[in-house]
Amino acid sequence: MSGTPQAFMIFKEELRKAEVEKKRLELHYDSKISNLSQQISVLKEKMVAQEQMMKSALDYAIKLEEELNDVKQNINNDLIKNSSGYH
Amino acid sequence: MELLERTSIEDLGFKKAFSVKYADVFENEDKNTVICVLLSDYVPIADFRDLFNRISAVVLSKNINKFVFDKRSLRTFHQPSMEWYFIEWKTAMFKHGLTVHRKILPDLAWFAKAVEIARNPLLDKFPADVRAGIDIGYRDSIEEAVIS
Repeated sequence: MSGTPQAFMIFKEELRKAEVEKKRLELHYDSKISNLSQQISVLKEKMVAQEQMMKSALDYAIKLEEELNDVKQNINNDLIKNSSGYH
Repeated sequence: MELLERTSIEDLGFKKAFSVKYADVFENEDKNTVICVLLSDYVPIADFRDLFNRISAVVLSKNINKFVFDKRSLRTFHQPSMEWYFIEWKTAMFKHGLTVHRKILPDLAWFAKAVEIARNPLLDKFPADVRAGIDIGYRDSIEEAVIS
């Protein structure tokens, strides 16, 4: 009567190889996921920065528009005042 | 183009101090000058701070009084990074003798305007002695920035 059957030894070796491969794939994909997460995090930060730049630009444009309207209003007021002045 | 610029930086007597993912940094002890050339269109804040902390070490160890910041590759700037660099870093470095800053912006009118809009409120936040003593100017090329 022989010891452990050869088929079992082969199966055990295949199982060991499969476990090693599983571990390798786990590490590989964990590293890929970590890398992708980092890239997503940078992209999110970049998008927030771009939003902030757009917001600042629009705030500035709105401020300029208000100032322009004030100037126009002052010109109109002066014209109205002058039209009833010394002529 | 990039190769020409790199050659000209070295032709100006600068040697590379260090390189990181987002920037190359050069130094010239005779000219008491450090040049930082950004390499990407955006620099995340953590990397930005790390970069400037490393530049601080060069400034402190080499008696640097002039900093040339080439931002031509940038297309987006992060306002908190800019505030930290503008107020905290420049103020800290001013105390170590770094008083002259020359910047090179991308040749894009909208970018220059965006920088101006963001920068103007920051100028008021400088301590009075820094505001009186710091010399900040914009130039079109590294050569121009180094000589003036």
